[in-house]
Amino acid sequence: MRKRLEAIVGPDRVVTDPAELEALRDDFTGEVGAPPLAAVRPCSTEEVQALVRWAGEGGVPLVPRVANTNVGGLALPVPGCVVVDLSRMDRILEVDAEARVAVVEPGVTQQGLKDELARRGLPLTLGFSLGPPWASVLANCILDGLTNRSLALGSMGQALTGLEVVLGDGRVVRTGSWAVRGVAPWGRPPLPDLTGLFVSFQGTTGIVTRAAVALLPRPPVEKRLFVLGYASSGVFGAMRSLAASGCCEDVGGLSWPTARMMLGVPHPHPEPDPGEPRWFLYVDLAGGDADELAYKESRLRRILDEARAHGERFEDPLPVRDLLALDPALGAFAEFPTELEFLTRPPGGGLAWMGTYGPLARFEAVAEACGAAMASHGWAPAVVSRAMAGGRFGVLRFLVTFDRHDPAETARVQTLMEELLERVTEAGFLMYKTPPWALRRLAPRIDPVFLDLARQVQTLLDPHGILNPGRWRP
Amino acid sequence: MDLVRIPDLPRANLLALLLVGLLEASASDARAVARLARLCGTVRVQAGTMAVLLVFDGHGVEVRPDRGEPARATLRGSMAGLVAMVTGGGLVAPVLAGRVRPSGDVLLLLRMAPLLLRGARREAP
Repeated sequence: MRKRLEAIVGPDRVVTDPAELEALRDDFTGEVGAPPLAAVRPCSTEEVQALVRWAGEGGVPLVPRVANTNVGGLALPVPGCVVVDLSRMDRILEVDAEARVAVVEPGVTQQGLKDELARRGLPLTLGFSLGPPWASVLANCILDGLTNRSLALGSMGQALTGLEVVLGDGRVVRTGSWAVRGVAPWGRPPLPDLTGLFVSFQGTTGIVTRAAVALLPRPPVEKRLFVLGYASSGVFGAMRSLAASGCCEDVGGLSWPTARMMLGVPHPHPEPDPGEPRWFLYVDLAGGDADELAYKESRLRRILDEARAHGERFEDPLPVRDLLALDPALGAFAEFPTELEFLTRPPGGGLAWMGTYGPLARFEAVAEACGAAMASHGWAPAVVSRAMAGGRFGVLRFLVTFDRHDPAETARVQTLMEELLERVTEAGFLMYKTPPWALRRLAPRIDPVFLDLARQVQTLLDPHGILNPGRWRP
Repeated sequence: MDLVRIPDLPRANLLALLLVGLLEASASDARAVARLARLCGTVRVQAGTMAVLLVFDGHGVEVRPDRGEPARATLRGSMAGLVAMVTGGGLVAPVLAGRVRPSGDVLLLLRMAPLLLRGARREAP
């Protein structure tokens, strides 16, 4: 096997040393995958094609992987697999400033693309996830994650304007306008939209080797404000109003335990301090000039005043720069991309994450119910939320850090996650970057025709069943 | 013994954590440490409805949850008012502007206030 792999990618990019392979067996979840047979580090689409053709001949599972930051265990090795480490494919192939599209390979990181836009002096930006600076832009898009510009863009699968994908039989397809020879990947219409065949399928329909990602204009003036709120009804009501008003670039909320974790409390007590604000609303404002920014800030203040008139309580907005002066740890929210160490290096090494998309109208009910469930299991209700897609829906995430080396605690976390999944699903929310255990539980609720069609798509695009097996197969 | 102590970290509220950060930053400055060593007494700090007690014992300060114990002095204001005090250079201006309200032993508050100022402003009166 090694010789065949070396013939494809060269001897220095094949890993069979058990110690090196060991490092590829975990991710942010703290779960441990099976020992892979080998890992390969291709540098081109042609090499990925050759790998897929080789794997198809022998029925060898291929598990694509980039930055080791997945929160659903979706890139953990499966028994007998070869890990396809795409981190060496890290070129920014094109930035079309007029169309506001960047074409990137899988290994391009959030920080890398940001730096490149700055180096070229372009007034453009991309959305940044809460993943660390070294997280892959492409992976977050094809797993339909979100960013701090998801209020405009929606989930990041919708920010894709085209893909280049190696299918399970070794063929390469380009989607969107890119499907037409000589046409740039400026958008997905008007051809049949095949991009979706590779979004949220978790790598089971092809290995994406290039993505065209929408960029946004970088506003000349920006301001990030924090608003402390005392009740979920007020905070999420304000979030809805702000999202609908069109006056902000981003609006989200952190629950009180999340803020405490940012300030160095590894395991906050599940009960809040009686007088403490329960939520921290963060709002990004932007404008063409200071006047526009001031107008938008006045809109924010009016929305808060209107909520106060209905009995809600908020502190006055605080610029994030002032909070940063209070405690540098809050600087993690001053500039994106950022590394939130309580997530990337959780105490005890375990991070469990119930990330869901759902209607903003139900945020307070779901946040309260799931928060209570977390407290009943002994964890403080650490929640991170954000409005997306103009406020049509948003993200609610429930975070638990735990000691991954303690089997009893790990089992308690799993019980909690299953309870949360039940609660969010009942409320009409859907988990994203869904791990296999959650998909199995969801399967009975999914329309059988939808499931059958998804399986037919997977079989069509991956006839040998070698691409990231076990993922998105409810 | 640590100069700044927080006996029940898991229950510490946001205000307590922010104050600990400020006091610990002060504790890296020799003059501020000397000031800390001269302070004795309990101060209640209240931002909105969130409150903590700062218990100065001549060796350092303990940041405790406010359970309604008596305090020699109280510093009360909105979160924005207290932030303005910390980042704006001192106690006097926010008090005159009505953003922060002192009560009780004002001398104790004046001696304590520089410990809560961020960075170079720490030595301001």
